Amino acid sequence: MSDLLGAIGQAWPRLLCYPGGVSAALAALLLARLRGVRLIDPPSANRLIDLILPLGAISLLPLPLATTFPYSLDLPTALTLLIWPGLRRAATERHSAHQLSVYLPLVLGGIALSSATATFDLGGLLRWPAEPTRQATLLLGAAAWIVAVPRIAPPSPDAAMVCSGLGLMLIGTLPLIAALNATPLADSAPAWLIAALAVCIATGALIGAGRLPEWAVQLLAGLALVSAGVAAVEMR
Amino acid sequence: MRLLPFDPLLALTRLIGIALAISGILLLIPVQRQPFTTANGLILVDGLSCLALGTAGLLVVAAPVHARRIGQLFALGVAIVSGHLGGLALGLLLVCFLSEHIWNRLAGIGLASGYLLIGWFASSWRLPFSGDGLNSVSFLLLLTGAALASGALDLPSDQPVTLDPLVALAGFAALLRLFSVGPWNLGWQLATLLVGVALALSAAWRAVNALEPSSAEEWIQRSIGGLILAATGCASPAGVVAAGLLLWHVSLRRLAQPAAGTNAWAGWLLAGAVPGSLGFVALWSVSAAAMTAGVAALAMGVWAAALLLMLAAGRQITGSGRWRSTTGALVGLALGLLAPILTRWMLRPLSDHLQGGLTPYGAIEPWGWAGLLALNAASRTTATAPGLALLGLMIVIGALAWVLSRWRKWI
Repeated sequence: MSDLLGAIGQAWPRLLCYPGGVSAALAALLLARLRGVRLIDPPSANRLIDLILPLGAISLLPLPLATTFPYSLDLPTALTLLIWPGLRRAATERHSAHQLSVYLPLVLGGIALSSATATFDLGGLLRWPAEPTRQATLLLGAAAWIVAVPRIAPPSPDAAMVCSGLGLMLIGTLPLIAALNATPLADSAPAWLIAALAVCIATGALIGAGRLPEWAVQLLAGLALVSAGVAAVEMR
Repeated sequence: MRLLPFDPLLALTRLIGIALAISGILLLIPVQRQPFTTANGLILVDGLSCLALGTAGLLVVAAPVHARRIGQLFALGVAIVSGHLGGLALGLLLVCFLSEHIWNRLAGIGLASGYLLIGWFASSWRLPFSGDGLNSVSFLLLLTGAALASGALDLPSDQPVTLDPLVALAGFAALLRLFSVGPWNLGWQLATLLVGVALALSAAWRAVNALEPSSAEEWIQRSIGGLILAATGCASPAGVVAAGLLLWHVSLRRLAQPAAGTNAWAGWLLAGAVPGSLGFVALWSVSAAAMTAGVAALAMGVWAAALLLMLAAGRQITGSGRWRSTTGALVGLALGLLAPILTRWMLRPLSDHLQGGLTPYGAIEPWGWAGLLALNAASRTTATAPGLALLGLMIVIGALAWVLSRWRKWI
């Protein structure tokens, strides 16, 4: 129990500074501005929980330069925390089941990511695999994941939805960091620059994906699934 | 005119149910290290017996009262403590034949004939020595029986009939008991996984589309049944632990009856959408078990079903708080946070005693006090569920956000 209390006590740089806290708030504001949202509504008392869950997930992401925290999240837990605002809204507003199709590319992207890494551990997304098929699966999975985000968390003044979109995008950024770290650029550039470059690429993809037609998103997700299948067969 | 101030059948059924649930827990004490056998091996009490007896007790407390329930309980008890394949088959057949629904008899015939066929081909009718009688026809009969018992036949219909919880439990127990007979081949594992995930996904989709809370709850129970089949199909210690956690989750939902009305926070806790609650831990453990078994696509499919289940349960949150749903939600949160202890003490005997038929591809272990870990065959972490650690962090973040909001006068 003392280990647990000690770990929570030492987690304050993650919660206050990076990747949560101030840095998450600034990144959310910046992302919202880039997506054309001018003002973000502050959370009301009864909707504070909607903001806390995605913010908590962002605080625990295994981003480079973040202080170590022994109790990391895995993909299903992080996904549940991040899509909580959308999930609660879909439940209370009783969205029709067919509106859930926007989540399909995210699930297929998740299949590709977990097939390429053979783990749900988010830290696994930062390890660049040796086999070309798994490399392609990881990148296709990240692409399918990122292009799904604009439909799941559309540009909105709701702070919880902005954090939800940011967190999902950051998960998609992890394989990009792994890919950039495997290039010769990693020998000369510091870790923060690699991470910043990956975030810039992911942000560009996210903004561009909002203009992609539906069939292109589904096609990319389908390719990620096929690639995951090939990678799974090769790993056997 | 009633002679007694209470319904004697209701009182008797509940008394037997509570006694059985307590016996299931107490019997875990002597069987922690090894199963208890007596009468020349005819009676076998192991981790699975304790889990099935305890769960049957809880389920019967929540089920509609009927005289045949007592007979079903007795038959299930006979089946689950029988070390003889004949006793096991007879018990399973009786549980299903005593059900109100005639279609459950098909499930009973499948389960009983599966075990009788194993006994016929085996050199012995004793459970631990019948491994040479395992064959694909028996397996298919058992899998079909378990799928029918979990309500798979209702999938094409619009309105499902009420699921008989004891028949469903008999189906799961029969399939899990097969690990006591011997190891499964890869084809059987894959078939069980596919049937389970297909049932879970399709029933979860129907639950999301359901208009009435009671109808949604029926589909949710079927979907959880599919997840139990999928967990069993992993054929690993992680899979059987996941099956045990799901049985507790489904029992808690039946006891709490969120479809009859609940307040929002209790409804979401019972839906399994809150990390750290029993529902979340149970749903996570199936996905983690599939991941440790090396089937990433099915693991993610399981999580998609879990998200649909959370949404379906969240859509049906109506009415105001009732003591049953509120207490159930709090108990679910406590059980979820205590999952590391419960897994070690109550579910470890289940996986240990079925070890002979399980593969080493995956285990769910306590992560100190923090939560649960899923380890693959190489003992590498493949999934993590930091229940208590995450709750602690969320409280800190919530406090910070509250202070900031008050300071900025947003609230």
